[in-house]
Amino acid sequence: MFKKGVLRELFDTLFGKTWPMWVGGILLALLNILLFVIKYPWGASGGYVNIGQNLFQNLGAKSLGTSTPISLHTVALLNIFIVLGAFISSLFSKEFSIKVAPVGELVKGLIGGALMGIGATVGIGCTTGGFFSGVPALSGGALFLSLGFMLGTIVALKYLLWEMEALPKMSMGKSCTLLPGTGKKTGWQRWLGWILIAVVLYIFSNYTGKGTSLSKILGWHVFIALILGIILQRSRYCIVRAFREPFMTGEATAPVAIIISVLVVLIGFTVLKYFGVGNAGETAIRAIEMKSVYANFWLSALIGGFIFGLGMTIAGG
Amino acid sequence: MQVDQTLDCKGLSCPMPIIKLAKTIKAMNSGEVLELLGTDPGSKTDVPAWCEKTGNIFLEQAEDGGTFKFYIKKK
Repeated sequence: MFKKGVLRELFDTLFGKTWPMWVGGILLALLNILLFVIKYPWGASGGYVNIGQNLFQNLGAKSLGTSTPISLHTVALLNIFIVLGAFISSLFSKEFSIKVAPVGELVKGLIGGALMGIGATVGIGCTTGGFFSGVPALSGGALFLSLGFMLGTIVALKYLLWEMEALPKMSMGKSCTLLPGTGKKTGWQRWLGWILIAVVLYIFSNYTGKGTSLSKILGWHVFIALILGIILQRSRYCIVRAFREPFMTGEATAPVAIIISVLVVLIGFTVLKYFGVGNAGETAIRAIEMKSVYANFWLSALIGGFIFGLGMTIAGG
Repeated sequence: MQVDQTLDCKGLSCPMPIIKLAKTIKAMNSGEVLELLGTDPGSKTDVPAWCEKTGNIFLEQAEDGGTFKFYIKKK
């Protein structure tokens, strides 16, 4: 017999406390490097474009042309399974709850989200692909994108301050909690978490079992996304905070965490590029992937970044 | 503990609780205690950090059925 649960104790430690953000940052950095080894650095907005295209095509918009099915699109899979991973992680931590924000906040979330969508499309990139992967890949556009984020954040914070004075009702009003996160009856949360883990691992083995090189790549994206989601949820790694805090609280935890992780990614990417590491099966494609530089230099990146920065701060992360 | 004012930030996501906190504290008198209610888990690190940065005194925090409560004394 084990002495009462060494593993249980480890589990409780991992899912009972919030991890320091820099720990999350370093872990995410390592996984980002791993993604680059397999295929392409971590991105997000490309996946949403794919999901959107599929959605509109199913609704009958043929003019968009044919797009890759979601199940064959690496970035779309990443997005879906990151959300699922974070969900599982919140279940494990018994933090999962459903809350509804005041109407004004919901509207702002919608507007902010729309601005983020427009910004990501104009600037070709978001905080993940454009910043967390783009800057360490030394993409020139990424630097302008980041500058745009910063300007957008400053303006949006000014707006939020103004809104509080001029339209105080915006962020007040009814909010309700449909399903409280903490409390007595939360044992089911961990069980549901384990079931979902099993489902994701089944999907992972389904992909890798097919044996083609593409399906293996897709399978590993599912698996890595699961881990990414858990880390994101536990460490509350939030790039928006890093852009916002210097102008709001003057606090440096988030910026420092992000700088550390960007440095780790920078070293990793540079080594990968220097030695040309990776799936060398298709040399020509790999050579293009290796550059990992987007054609958004420099005005579109600046404008897109600005719009995205506005949106991300208004939406609140 | 005597609470002088309560600020309800339930349902708001970051950064609104901190912005509201800053504004409310500004209008209070030195030594008064503010109770901040919120549901955003990010507040658990944000509020103490903000207090440290601004010199206000972070008294304590509690949790009640998914709502976080923070008590801050104006310097």
